[in-house]
Amino acid sequence: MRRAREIDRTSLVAGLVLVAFGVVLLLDRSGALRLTFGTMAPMAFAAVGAILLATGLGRRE
Amino acid sequence: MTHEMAVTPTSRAASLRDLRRDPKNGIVAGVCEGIGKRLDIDPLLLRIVFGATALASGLGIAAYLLAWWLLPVEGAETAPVSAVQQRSARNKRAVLEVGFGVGFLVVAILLTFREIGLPFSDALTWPLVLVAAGGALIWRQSVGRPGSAAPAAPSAVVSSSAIAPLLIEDSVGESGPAVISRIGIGVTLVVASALVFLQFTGALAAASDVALAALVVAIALVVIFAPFFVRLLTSLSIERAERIRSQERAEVAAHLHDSVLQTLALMQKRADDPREVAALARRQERELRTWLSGAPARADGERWLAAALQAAADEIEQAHGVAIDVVAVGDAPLDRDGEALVAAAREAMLNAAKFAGGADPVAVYAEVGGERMEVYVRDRGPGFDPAAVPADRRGVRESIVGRMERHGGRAAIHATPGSGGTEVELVLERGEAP
Repeated sequence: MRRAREIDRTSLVAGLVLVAFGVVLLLDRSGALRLTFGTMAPMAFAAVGAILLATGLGRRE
Repeated sequence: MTHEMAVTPTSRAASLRDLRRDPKNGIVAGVCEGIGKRLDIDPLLLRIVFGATALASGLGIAAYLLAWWLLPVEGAETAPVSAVQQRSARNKRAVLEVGFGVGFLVVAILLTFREIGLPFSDALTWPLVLVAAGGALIWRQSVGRPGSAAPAAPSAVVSSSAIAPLLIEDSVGESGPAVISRIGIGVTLVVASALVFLQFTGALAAASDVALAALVVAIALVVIFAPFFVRLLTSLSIERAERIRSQERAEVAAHLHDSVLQTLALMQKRADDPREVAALARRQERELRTWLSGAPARADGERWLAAALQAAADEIEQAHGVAIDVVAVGDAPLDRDGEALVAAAREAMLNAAKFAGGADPVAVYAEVGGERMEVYVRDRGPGFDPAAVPADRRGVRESIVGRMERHGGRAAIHATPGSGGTEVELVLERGEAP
């Protein structure tokens, strides 16, 4: 019986970031939130930063 | 006639780690080409998706750039490189990613503060970004990874001893100048952030008077104490070099006593058995070559493929008096699947030693690539018909073929009854590239 694969931290963080983006875009679409460049820019930076950080820390042995 | 017993490899779904980009066949950076090839999708479709999302919201451009940064190049990992080189390259990339990641997160937090109206301005934003990136570099370099120090070969220790005191040794065996330059970049970023903050707040002009006074005093102190400092550094350097030489000499003497002299004594006792003497000499030669080449002793208790195969070969060679030559291209740490591969290879070596006779040495060839580990065990014995092996003989069927199958690999036995010899081919797909 094969053992379960370890969780790929980069994939996990990237997936969560995508889900969060989807939720925010949905809220914007439904009118509950009003997205502007001022609100999107920090989100984009945070998404890229989180993925890079997860990737870099994931390379540690 | 050649008989083959093959086991179909367990298919493994492509994960994010399997994705590569293919710049040779791609248009820009080969992201669509590489992803399409791995997922069996037409790259043109992916290009249309990226293009449409780029035109619609710009998201496609960001996604493409992110994939460009994150995805490794197709085929780059297949070249056989040492574990230390792989670790060094991975460490360099990780340092950059952590630095940029922290920087991006800080920018995001500060932009959020600005958006919700907290009293932060550029005077604080950009210095904090620089401090975060510089601090991350220094922190990562300083903390390091415990227990990962790579022991150097004897020659490397001696040659580096003269300059060792002036260099900071990295915990993963990187060169001193590279480490210093990385720390230097971090320090420069932190100092630059302080200067930017002082400039924005107008305190730089006032601070310049204090800085000038401090500089004059510092120059005077350097002039006074420089000769003493240089002499201290020189004496420390000489003392350290002599200490390293002395330790090295003691280590060489101890190794000669424990291995070479003991083997020579044993060979004198067994002088009437040429086969035993030859086996002893071969084993000693291998051990000396390994020691002289500076192959790292895995102090962390982790087993690696090449060493494990060599240990198995040594054990069988000693028990059966048959020479076994092991050649390994590349190396990798062993997980449970890798241990199964070694166990199957050991069984194949044992069969070769038992049934192939001792006229010619058994050849073991191992190759570790980015996607699979392969081991071939060849002998020049009389060969056999795998189909004719009785059902109650489980050596080949269970210990080799069955074991590989259970661990997601495959085994094939190429045997020609008569005088064609036997080759056992063991292949294990690697779930995750190193």
